[in-house]
Amino acid sequence: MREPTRWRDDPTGLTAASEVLLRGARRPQLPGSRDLDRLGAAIEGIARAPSRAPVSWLRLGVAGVLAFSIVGGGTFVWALHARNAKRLAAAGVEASEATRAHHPPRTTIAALEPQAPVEPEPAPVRAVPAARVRRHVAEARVAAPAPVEAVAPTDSLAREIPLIDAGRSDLAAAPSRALAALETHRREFPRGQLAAEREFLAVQALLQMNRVADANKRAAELAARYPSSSYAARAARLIEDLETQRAAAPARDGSRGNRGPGLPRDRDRL
Amino acid sequence: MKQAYAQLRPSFDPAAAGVAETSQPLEVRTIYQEHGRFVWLSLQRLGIHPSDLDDVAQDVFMIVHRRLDTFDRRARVSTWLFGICMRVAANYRRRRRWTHEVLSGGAEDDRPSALVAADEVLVRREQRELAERALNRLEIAKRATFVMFELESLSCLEIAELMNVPVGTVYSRLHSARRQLEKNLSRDLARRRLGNS
Repeated sequence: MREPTRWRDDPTGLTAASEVLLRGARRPQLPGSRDLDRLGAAIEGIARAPSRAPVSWLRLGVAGVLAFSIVGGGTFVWALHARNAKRLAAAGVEASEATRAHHPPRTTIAALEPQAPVEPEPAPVRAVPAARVRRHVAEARVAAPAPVEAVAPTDSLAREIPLIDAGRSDLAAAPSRALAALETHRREFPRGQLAAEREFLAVQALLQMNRVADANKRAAELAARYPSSSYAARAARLIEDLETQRAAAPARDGSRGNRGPGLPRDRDRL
Repeated sequence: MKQAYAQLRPSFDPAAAGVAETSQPLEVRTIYQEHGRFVWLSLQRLGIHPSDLDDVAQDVFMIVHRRLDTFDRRARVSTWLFGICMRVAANYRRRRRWTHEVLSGGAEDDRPSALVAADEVLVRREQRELAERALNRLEIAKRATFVMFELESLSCLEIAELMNVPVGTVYSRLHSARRQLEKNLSRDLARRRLGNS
């Protein structure tokens, strides 16, 4: 490839614009002695400075703050996620309870464990709870244990659920067996995630067994331990309804010993 | 003039450059002594205004001092320096824009002397303003190529060596620079004629 011809070497081809450029453009000039002296002095100063750029504490600080924010933020999000997951798990248990109330279980723990010792049942209490108590009990009479194979043995919640389900399923038919399952849960998981529900079921079982004083005591313990729990409120209502009915029963027929429906047989225990 | 520029091409002769640029320990003082004039000229080729040359040249040598350990000794110092000059000039251009140079430049050269008539001074000033404005509209690499080829009479091979690009790139940049300059300058001249009439 040939070297291009310079504009100044081809005067015939010059245009007005190229003429202006050649005449007007500033040509680079060599530095004068004063320029060189001034620049040389500056270079001496530059040469004495450390060749590496000094560590910028500001940059380090900003980097530190950024790193801290990222790590701290990540930890916070993780903790938040874990807490929400825990809450969701607890809420899921309650939701599943409500769902199972409408769908009778196919298999129960009792059916899977026929060898379990069975206490002799007391005489059935036909009318101990009031109508409201019955409704609550009926709601709780779900007894829908999760399939055993679906339970992961390493998960404490998964181990709690079958015990609570067993207690719930036996509540109506065999309250003593239900109470035994709940006591097992109480021994193994005194502060388990389903402790409030266990205590509520225990109150119901005790009422079914006509052990009103014990039920009252367990309800009081439940209210003291879980004051904000809905189970505590429901247990208190059960006891309250029962007391209301017991107080109203003698006034209705004037007799002292009316042991009709809705009243416990052993009123002295209350 | 051409001889003066020829003195500022220490890296062009590969044999001489190889000895001169690798035998001595690299230090900013040494580099300044050998290439200070070259940096001074290069910054003007890239459009640095004469009044800012001192500061910008210091910036260049500050970077040289900090980056000495990153310099590949197999490469030419002049090429490395020209690359630094291009980056510094690009930053300078972003800061200053061309208007500053046009409005404040050229006063020293245009001072009337006893030998130059007043109208001639005005014509020169006008040409200087138009030419600098047109040059400053070019990309910085095209501007340097044009200035070195047309105003300093460096060969395309020398320019390619200096800018560390193929000769074909120099041809291309030169062609493009000429075309843009003529187009922009013709338009400016036409506007000026219209304004005068």
